[in-house]
Amino acid sequence: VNAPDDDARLTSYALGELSAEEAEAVERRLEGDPAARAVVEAVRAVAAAVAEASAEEGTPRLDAARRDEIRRAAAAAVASRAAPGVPSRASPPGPAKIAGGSMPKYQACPKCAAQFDVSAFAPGQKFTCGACGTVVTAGAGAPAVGGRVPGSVRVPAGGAASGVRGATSSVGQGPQYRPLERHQSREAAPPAAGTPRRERRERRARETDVDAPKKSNAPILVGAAALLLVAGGAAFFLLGKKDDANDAPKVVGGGGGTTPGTPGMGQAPTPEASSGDTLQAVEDDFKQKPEHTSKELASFLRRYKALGSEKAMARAREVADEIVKYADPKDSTQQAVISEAHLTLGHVEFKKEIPEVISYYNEPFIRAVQEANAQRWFGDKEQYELAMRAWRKTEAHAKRLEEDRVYALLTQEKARIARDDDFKNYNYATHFASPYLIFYSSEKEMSEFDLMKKPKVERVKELAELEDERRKWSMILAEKGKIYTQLYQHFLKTYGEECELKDLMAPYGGRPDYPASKRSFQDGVPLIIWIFSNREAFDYHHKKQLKDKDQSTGLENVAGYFSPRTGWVYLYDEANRQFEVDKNVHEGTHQLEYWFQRQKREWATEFRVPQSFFGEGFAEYIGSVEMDPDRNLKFIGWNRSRLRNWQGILKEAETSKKKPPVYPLEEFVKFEGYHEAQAYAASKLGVDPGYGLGVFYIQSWALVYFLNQYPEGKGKYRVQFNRYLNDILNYDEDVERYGWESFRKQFGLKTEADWKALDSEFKKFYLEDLKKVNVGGLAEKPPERDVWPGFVDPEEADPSNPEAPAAAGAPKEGDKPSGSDR
Amino acid sequence: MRGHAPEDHAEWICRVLERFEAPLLLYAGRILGDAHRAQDVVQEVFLSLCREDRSQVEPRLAPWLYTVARNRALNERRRDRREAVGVEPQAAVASSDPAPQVEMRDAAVHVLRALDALPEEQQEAVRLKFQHGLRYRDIADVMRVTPGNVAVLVHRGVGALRARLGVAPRAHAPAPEGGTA
Repeated sequence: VNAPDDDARLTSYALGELSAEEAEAVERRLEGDPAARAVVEAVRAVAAAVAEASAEEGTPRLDAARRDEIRRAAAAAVASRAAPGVPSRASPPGPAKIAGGSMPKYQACPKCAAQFDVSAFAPGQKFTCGACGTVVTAGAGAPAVGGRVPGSVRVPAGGAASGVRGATSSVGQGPQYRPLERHQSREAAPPAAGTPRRERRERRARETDVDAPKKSNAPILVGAAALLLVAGGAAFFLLGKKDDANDAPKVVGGGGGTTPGTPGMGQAPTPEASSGDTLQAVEDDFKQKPEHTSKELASFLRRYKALGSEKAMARAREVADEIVKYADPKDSTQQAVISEAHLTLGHVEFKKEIPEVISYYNEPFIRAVQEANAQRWFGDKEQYELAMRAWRKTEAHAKRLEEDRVYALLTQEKARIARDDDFKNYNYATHFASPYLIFYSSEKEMSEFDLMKKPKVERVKELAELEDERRKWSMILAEKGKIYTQLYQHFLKTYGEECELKDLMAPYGGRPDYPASKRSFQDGVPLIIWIFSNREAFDYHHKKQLKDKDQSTGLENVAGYFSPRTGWVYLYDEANRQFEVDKNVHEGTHQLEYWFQRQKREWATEFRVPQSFFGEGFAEYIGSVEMDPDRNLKFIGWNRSRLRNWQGILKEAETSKKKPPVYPLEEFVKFEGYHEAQAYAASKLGVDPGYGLGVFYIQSWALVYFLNQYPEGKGKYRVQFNRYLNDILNYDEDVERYGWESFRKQFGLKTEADWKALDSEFKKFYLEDLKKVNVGGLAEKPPERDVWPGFVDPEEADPSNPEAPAAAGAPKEGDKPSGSDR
Repeated sequence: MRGHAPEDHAEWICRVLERFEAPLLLYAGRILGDAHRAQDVVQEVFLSLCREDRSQVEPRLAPWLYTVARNRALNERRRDRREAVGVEPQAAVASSDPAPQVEMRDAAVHVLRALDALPEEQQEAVRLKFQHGLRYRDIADVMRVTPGNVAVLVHRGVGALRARLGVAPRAHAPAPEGGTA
């Protein structure tokens, strides 16, 4: 018997992990062993302490968006399982159940030829093909023919669903759809070395008929990547070789002429080189057979080359050309021959391994490297140089992923969004401007699947147009990057110290000091901005893309918004440039409030700032900027549209000899919802609630301006305001009217007289000073969107070339834009 | 889906989500040292669950969920380590060296720190047992070890915790080895 402290059985007993028999034995021991009993008690005490302490780690929740995504997936899974033709992933293989009658057991989809077990269907019953979506009528089509069926899927009881014939199944991985013909093609054994060329030719001809990518098992992405590459100006990767494969195979006879193949013309001499070889002897040997195996061709190639004469070398090149065209590059036994042939032809080999650090391949230069690898040999120097340029970019990208944490994070985030169903099909460009990742898109969608189905010419043209559109966005994106990074720097500089804000892109989002269970955002917090090129695109996204997701209501009149649900800003570009620039800064301010509040509150996901004067007033104040031609911002705080409106109201009040509508300060600060402001406006100010809300916005901006700048930019109350902002970022929901309480505390408003004093000071500013401001002379208009002297397109900046010109708007450390791309 | 109406499946997923969302987030967060990344992992776990056959998963639901979460979190961590050169090493997340400026707030913090100080495997087994309520055999499935290994890991973990927390058997008067943490 072990000493109690060393006996794992006592621990297991204490935790109820022993069988009845084992437990009985331990209990017998416990009766006479107090030390063992004490150990059991101690184990249970530790267990209780750990369980209790664990409760302190909280009950974290998934973000609302993720929960919704899961619910949608659950509903979709139900739908797909209920629909015929989509096999359940975990359905085990089993014998097909054959319903009676004359129904065939299998039926092919008339469109894509995927085969289904329809034995459980009533004749005439309709189902949807899980492969192509075609509605198929059971019993109406031709029965499926041919093909080996490695496994079939059992029809669930009730015949509600049917499996795709030809699918395979294994433990943990259910049947997966594979069109039969492609399946067969893949399973065909590769020809052995020396297979007669006729057979290889026929195999190639068969493969040519298959409509899917033939030379690779890579997913559709690679195919689409190839198409994108074409659009990007590197069409050579796709064009030459595959088109050649579609040509009728040529048969080379002796002397370089072309003769019909005549198999079985007697024994060919062994085509080995000998020291006394002559060109005539080699030619004679060559003519002995109309066709040669690759091994034979390799031997002839060597013999011709060994002769060394100009004529022999010309023949060597012809043979090499033949080898390149007809040898099977997938056949490992032919690799040496093929390489020799390419070298004879003066081709250059391209064989680069994509660095392991790269996990997101959907970058144009990486796709180019993949395609170049697939092509492997290059006869065109210019094509090779393009491939090498793509490789240099890939290397530089990999190096940066390894060395630049922020770049790696933004790349990772970009990869995540590239998989997001709501966004992935848009034609969009991306810009890195740490901590921001900015997307710009039109409403055009670019489904790779749809594009793949189009004729090549049309496809290339469309891709080129989309690429062209993205290139035009390069300057717009650089401008946005500069706007947002300046906002971020301004926010940190102005409020960072007082509010103890940390750089969101620092490790753990600036809070490595949080306990391990609360630490988050190990590589930093990326701030996502999605900008649509116009209102139509914005509406398209919300009304069509998100129509079923309850995210499109109430957006009819908004010019953009920040969503606490996702933490993103959603905007569109405007004809009015000043408004456009201001609203970017405005929504960006909301976003910073949100993320800094989370940073200060152990990354809690609830956004607690209510709709008080602060919420909009602060964003209106920060979002009042002046932009110079080089896109430098000056945060002037003067909101021209609000000021203009207010001056109009004051003038009207003067004319009509009425009091302008002004909320008393204490009431104003108490509002925690627009409805409260509207109700007050209707009941106490005697104005329409809608009008009252407009006045609320104006007064909100004016009060924040006043608290930051009054008098005349000196900022008498700036310190108090910064403390108030800090309180808001630490919002305490449990305190009733927290915003008001905090305001009262930070501005020292202990008595009614204190409130009145501040109110009267503000009113002087609001009713008198603002009236005198010359709105027109407040700031220069922002430059036109497409006018930016000195702008350098980031696309032109080769990341591998340190001498490449710096892109305009490119922040310094970790912020260098990767260029506009997809 | 055999034996369950389609509607049940979605409801079931929602119930499982409610029940396991928080513990899986804590579990994945612990492995990754990053609560935000844990969200990605746990979302993927539930998306995978949506694709599974309920009748096959349900009898072993908890070990299935924890196993998938663990595999994905470890994959993520491996990838992070590969990519994040120059970033604070992951091991620091579960470091036993608490920041000096953080005051010991209460007993719970004391226990959690002692837990954090355990070797990774012991800590995982102990947490899965006490925090997540899994049986030894389920923990064995999740951690890909034998139930006997789990018994030893938990036993050693508990022993270390007893020493750190000063939970000594009453019959043994001497102070625990290493004293209180």
